[in-house]
Amino acid sequence: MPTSRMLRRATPWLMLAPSLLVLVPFFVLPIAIMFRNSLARDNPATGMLMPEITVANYARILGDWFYAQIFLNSLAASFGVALLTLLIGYPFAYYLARWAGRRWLPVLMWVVYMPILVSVITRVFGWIVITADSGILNGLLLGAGILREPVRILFDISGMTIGMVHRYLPLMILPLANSIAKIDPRVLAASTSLGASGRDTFLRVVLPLSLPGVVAGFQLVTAVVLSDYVLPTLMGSTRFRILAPAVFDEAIGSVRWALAASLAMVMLAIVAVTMVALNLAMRRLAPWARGL
Amino acid sequence: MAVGEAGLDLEIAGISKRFGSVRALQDCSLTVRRGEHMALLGPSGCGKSTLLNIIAGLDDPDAGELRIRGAPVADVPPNRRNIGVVFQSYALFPHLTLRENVAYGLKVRREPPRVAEERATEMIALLKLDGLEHRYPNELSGGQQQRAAIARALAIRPVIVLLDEALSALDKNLREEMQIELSLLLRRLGVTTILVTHDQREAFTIGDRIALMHAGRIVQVGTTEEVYGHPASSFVLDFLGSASALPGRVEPGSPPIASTAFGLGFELTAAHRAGLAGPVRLYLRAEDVTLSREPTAVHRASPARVELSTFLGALKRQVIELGGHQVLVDAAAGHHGPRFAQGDAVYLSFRPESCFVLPEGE
Repeated sequence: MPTSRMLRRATPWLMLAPSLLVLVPFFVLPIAIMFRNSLARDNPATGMLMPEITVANYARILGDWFYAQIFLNSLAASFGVALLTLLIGYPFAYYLARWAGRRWLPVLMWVVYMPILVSVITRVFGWIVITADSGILNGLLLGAGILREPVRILFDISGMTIGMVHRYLPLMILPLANSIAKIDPRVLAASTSLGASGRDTFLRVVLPLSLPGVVAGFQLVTAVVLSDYVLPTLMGSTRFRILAPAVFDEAIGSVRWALAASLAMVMLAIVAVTMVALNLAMRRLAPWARGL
Repeated sequence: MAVGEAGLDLEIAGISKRFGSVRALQDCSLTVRRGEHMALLGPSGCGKSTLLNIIAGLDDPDAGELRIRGAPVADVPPNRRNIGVVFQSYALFPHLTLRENVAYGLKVRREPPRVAEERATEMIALLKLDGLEHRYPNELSGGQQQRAAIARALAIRPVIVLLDEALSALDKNLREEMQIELSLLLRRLGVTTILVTHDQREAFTIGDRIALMHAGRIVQVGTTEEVYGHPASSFVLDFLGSASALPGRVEPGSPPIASTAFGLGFELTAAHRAGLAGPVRLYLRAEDVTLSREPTAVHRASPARVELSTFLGALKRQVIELGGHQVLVDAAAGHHGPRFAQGDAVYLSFRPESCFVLPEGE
C-alpha cells in the first residue's frame, strides 16, 4: 500500500519532529544569528551593529594577548576542574559500581544527584559562608592557630575551583560509575586467577575498561566549565578571567555585541575541538571500545 | 596434619559452605590425582560451581580443608594458587587482543617478555588460533573465544585447570567437536583438570572420573563406567542416562522375587543389592529394554501399550505406557526388530540384572 509505505518512511521524521521543533528555532537559529553578528562591526558611538561582513573581530581576539590569556585560562580551568573531579570522583564511582550493593546504591546515587536538586546560587552562598576571609574555614584555621591571617579562597582561582568541582562532580561520577559497573566481575576473577595482584588488576583491567567513562566524564565537565558564567562571577577573581564572563562583559559592559559574538563563536569552536580531540584520543587509547 | 599423599594434585576434605540459609556445599571430600581429569557433574544449583570457586580461591569455605600438591591453601590468595580457570562466559579481557589475553598471566607474573611471547605463540598454535592474534575478543567467534580462554588458562602452566561449564555456550555440533578436541589436548598435555558441567556427555568425554553432585553433596565418585554401571542412588540413576522408574515389591526368599502390580516379575540375582524387602522402585534404562509382541520371561501378563514412537536419528525412542507409568525404550535406528505402531500391545523384555532395584524412598 503506498500510504502505509509513505507513513513508514515518514515515521523517523515524525519521531524527530518534537526535538527539531525545539532545536531549530531555539538553538540552530540563534547560533546562526550569532555567527552573522560576529562578522558585523560594532559602532562604539551608538552601541549598534553595523551590518557589514568583516573578520576584523576574529583578527582582533585571535591577535590580542588579552584574549589569548582568557582562552588559555578557560582551557586550564576546564582541564583542571575535569582532572580534579576525575580524581575525587573515581574512587567514589568505583565504590558505587562495585561494592555499594543493593542497599546502599540508591542512597549513594541520591547523594550524587542531590546537589543538582539545589539551585547553584544557593550552593554558592553556602560556599561563600565557608570560604570567605571571615568564613568558617578561615575561622577554624585561625582559631586553631594554624594561620595568622586568613588565606584567600573566595574570589580567587581556588574558590572558583572548589565551587566548580562541587557543581560538576555528578557529571563525572555518573558516566564513570556506569562504565565501571559494566565490567564483568568474571573478567576481574580471571585476572586474579591468572596471577594478578589487586593493583595489577586495577591498573591493567579496571582502569583501561573504564576509559570510555573517563573520557565521557571529561567531555561533559570540560564543556560545562568552558561555558560556566555563575561560578567565575560569584566565586572567581577578575585577575583570572575566563570565557563566559568575558563574553558577558564585552556584550553588556562594553556594549560590543559583534566582538562578544565572535568570542562566543571561538568558545564554541574550542568546545567542539576539545570534544573531537578527546574522541580521537579515545579511539587511539581504546580501539577495542568501538564495538561496545 | 600429615603431609598430603604423593601424586595428589588436589585434596578436598569436609568442605562446607553456606550462603545465608542456603547450604551450598555440605561436607564435600574429593581427591584428584596428578594428570587426572575429574568431572564435577550435577544439575544446576547442586553446588559444583561453588566448589570450583573455592578451589580457585575466589570463594572461601566455611569449613574443611583444601590442599594443592599436599600444601594447605587456606591462606594462599587466588592469584598465588597457580590455577588456570576457564570461565563459562570466557571472561576474556575485552580491551586486549587475543595475543595479549594469552600473555596476560605471564606478564602479571613478571615473566621475561621473551618467555611470555614464546609461550603465547606456542599456546596460540596449540589451540589453532594462528592468524587471529591481533583481534579483539569481540572480533572472534564463540568457538574462537573459547579456545582463547583455554589458551590463556594453559599459558601460565597451571597446577590445575578448572573448566566451569566451559563449553556450554557453544552450539551443539561445535560443542561436541570441542569436547573431543579438548579431551585429546588435555590428555596430551597431562595437565590435571577439573571440569564442572551439567552435561553428562561432556563429563564422560573429558572426565576420567566423575564426581556426581546433588544438593551440595558429592554423592558418588568413580570412573565413567563405575558411576553409569553401578549408580549409588536413585539420583544418579535419574541423572545419568534415561531410566524409567516403576513401583514394585520384593518378596524375600531364596532367591527373592521382585514384582510389580502390572505383570513384571523376576528373581533377584547376585548383581542386586542384598537384603531388599517390601516396597521398592525398579529402574529400567531405556537402552536395556526391548519390546516383543509375546509375553517374555520378565513380563508375562497385562501388556503395555505403545504411546509414542519417535525417531531421533541414531536412536528410535518409544514411550510405553505400563500400569499408568511411562517407560522409555530406545533401540538403534538400524535395528531390524519388529516395528511397533502407536497403540500396539507389547511386552517388555530385559535382563533382570540390568534392572536397578532400590528401596522405596532412597
